[in-house]
Amino acid sequence: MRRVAVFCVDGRFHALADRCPHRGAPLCSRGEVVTGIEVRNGRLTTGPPNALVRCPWHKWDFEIATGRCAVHGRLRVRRYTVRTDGDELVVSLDLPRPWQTASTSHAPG
Amino acid sequence: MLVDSDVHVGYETLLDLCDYLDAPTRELVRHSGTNGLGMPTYPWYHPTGWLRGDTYDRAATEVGAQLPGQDLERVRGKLLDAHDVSHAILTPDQAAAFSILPNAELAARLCQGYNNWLLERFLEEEPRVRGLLVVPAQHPEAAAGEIRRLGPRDEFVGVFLPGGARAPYGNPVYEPLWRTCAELGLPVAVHTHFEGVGIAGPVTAAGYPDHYVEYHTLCGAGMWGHFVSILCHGVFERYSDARLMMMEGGLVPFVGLLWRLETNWRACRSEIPHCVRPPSEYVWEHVRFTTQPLEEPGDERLLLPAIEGLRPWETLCYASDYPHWDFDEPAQTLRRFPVEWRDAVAHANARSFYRLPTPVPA
Repeated sequence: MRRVAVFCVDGRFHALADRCPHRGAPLCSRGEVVTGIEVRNGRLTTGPPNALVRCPWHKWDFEIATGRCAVHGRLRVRRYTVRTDGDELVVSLDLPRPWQTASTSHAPG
Repeated sequence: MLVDSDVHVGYETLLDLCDYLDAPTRELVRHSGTNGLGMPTYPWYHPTGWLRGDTYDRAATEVGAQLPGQDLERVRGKLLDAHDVSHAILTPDQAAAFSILPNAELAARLCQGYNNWLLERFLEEEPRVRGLLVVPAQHPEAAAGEIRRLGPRDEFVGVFLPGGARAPYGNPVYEPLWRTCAELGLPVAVHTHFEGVGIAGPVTAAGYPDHYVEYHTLCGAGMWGHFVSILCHGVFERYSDARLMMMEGGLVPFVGLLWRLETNWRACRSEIPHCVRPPSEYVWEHVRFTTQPLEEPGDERLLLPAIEGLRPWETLCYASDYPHWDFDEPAQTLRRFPVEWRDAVAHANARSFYRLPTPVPA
């Protein structure tokens, strides 16, 4: 069974597999959406709000918009293409082509 | 078949032990402090959470709670049934702190309460779980008494000691504990816990680290100290049936430690005459290691050569460390070992070490 999670971050939709590529944990359904902590220009600050999903098991962070793992250069959570069709969200179970972004639509209203 | 050699359980608050304590200790637990007795704890907090997020309800958990929601039903559902575990060895959570309390007499009484609680709430209810006796390491005579009290019961398969301690466990002060374990045929399991807390020494000689991440990278250091101490003091020479489990101290560091110790032994044997044989010989016969947290080199091919010096096919026992954040999922972990080792690591080594019965097929 494949589980897919849909996020809305900053008005854009993103769809990610509910499976951490590290050890298979339920990344989205039992993980936590968090804001990163970083150092910028020598000062402690936060990253874009709620841009990361944190794995419930080993606490690895993944960028929701790209699926990239913030702590492991080669790991990426599987992404799906999302578009809006009127009032509906349509998630395509194909992987996005390299020339497409994972999310092509903004939230309505 | 799968034996999980490190599953943490615990009460939610010390008040949960009241029914299992003697009356004077109950009074202390209820009336100490501002709202009951507290335990010393780490000065660092894990920045992203101590536990697997899918094992408890964070919204329903009080700030600073110990091991929320890990009752037997949860352990059955999330671990025993979910991963088809035939036996799980239960290790403590906060109760590991009893050994680093300055009040040794109180520690001894709290240990009794905890073991009573564990027996009634877990061990008597579920045949797949076996317990390690929590004993006051800082009071070896009382520890021996507690081992004699409950050690003969089949539900207890060993004695738990934390990595944080006042003195390394090979020191002569611990002789009553080793002697009693030998009398009863019980192994000792030393587990990273409370290094740098209470009466325990700092996690390394470099002094107090600032961050949790430093602590967790270094915390095997307590284990390494006990490992070397027990070998150098000849505990296995005096007690030929003594067994030692090293839990959560890592694997790769022990390889180098053993080489360095053995080199030193050749030159320094006159200082440690009780260590009659090369230390590695005692390790193969008497010492085992839990796998978690299994090191994760960026290049996975480096792992097996790095641990081969520990004879892993003989000495490793799979452990999950459920419900902690560095949980090692069994199938994914065992897959990292050669297939010819898997039965040994998955269950046979632990079954032999803890003298567990072979489960009867359903």
